[in-house]
Amino acid sequence: MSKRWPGFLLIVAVLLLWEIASMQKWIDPVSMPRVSVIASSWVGSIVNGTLPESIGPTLWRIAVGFGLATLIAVPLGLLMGSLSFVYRLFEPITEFVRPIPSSAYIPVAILFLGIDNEMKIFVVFLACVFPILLNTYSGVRGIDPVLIDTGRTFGVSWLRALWSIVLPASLPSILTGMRISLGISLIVAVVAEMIAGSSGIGYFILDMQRIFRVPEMFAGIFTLGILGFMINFMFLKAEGYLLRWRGTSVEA
Amino acid sequence: MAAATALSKPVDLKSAAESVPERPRPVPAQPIIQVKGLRKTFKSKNGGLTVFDDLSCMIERRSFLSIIGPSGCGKSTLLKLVSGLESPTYGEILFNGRTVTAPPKGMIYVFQQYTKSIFPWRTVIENVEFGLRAQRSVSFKEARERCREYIDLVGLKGYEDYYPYQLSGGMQQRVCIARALICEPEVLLMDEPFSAVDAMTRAILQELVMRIWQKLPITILFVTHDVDEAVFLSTRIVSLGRTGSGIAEDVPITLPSPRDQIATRADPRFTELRQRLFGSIFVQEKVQETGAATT
Repeated sequence: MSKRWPGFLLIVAVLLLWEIASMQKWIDPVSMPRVSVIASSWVGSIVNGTLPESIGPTLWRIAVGFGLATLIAVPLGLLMGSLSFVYRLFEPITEFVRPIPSSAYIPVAILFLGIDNEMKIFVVFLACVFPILLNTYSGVRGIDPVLIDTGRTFGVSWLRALWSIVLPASLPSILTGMRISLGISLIVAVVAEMIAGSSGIGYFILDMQRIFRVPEMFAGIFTLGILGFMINFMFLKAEGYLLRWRGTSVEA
Repeated sequence: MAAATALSKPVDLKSAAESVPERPRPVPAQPIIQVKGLRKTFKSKNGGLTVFDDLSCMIERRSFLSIIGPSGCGKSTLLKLVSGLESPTYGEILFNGRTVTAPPKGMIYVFQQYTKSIFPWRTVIENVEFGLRAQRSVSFKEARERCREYIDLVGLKGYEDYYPYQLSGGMQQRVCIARALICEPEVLLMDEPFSAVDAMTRAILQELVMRIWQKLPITILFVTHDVDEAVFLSTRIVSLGRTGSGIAEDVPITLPSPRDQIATRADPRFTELRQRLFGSIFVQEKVQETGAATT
């Protein structure tokens, strides 16, 4: 922490420069209001409840979409990694669907699921599935054959080996996939909220821009930054705990 | 019993030995393992490699058999075939009279690459517990007790809650040995188990294995490239010839037991056996080198 002060100092300097630039009208103060103005509107939107009200639905969509994606992608990835026929069955479709940006599915999702939670959860889910799936099965395929043979010599059943050898051995890779997905999930949730519906932080930002409350708009954007940072921080903590057996401490 | 006193850190072997239940003893005349007309061919781009052809061998119960031979002769392959981890091209392996088609119960393989075989996400006691729970279900309390006994047996008392990355190589291999022994196998298959540890640790681990073999009703098949190690530990040595040529020598080792790292190695009979076996392997190793300038 003590070695990170230059980085924090830079943030303070940038904010200070922004404040002065806006005050001196070097930049358009209407589009880029002063930092102090943004800060006071930020406090205002928190106190009047509009900002907290917007954060809730977004977090809920991320949690459900990401959670469902993990529940489906991890078991499927384990099967794809350990059974070659499952791999051959799913690999082509995975490779075809994966490169399509999940925001491209939003129009279709609206047709089928409307503009509410279901649509957004579905889009978040779709975006999260592939990084987890890919990292899970490549993690399984990277397991040393000696470890698999160890399970065989002890005569454990296939299912037992999957649970107590394959899963923990590929956990580092699975968690990497989950961390990537978590980052993507925030992006996709916000995009979906901006396109359709009337709740969530994405809608809040777009709405503030439309009614020309630029300081509140920036407050929403900064909230996203803090939200993303906190989610990642908590995930790294959990990852560090789950992988404590690796010996190398993961710096958050 | 006297071998135990040779160890600087005496462990409670009595309880471990007592905890091994009586096994139904088959007819004593029957060898525990029979290798019949074994052939193994590995497919490769330029034809195939036949490691052995028509190899046969009987292994008596309670023996300590070492397999030695020049590099690439198929020592480890033979062990893998016996274990059921690999299947033969022709021929069969019988374990207690039954054909081995998959890793059978009662046989545990201890790998050379202990760093890859140990479960890094499990602590010492959890690693050992894996072996126990692989065989049968036990209550948490009983499991812990049994694990502690075997951890003591391999001299790792006090390290129960360490993760493998916190242990030295020799200690990691001890964990793998304890994990195998807790299954109470009839046969322990050890594939160059001490080739990756330093000389002093190796000497200590050799005594450990020797002591375990004396205490527990167990047959050990031991692959090594170290002739001294083989002579020191075994009751019988099978020396494989060059790739494909089968068994070159089959030597009973009648050195007195209990053996001692210093006294036994100073015995003239030890030196004689060692020289003879070393000589035969060395000659073959040289032939192989001049024959094909690879490996």
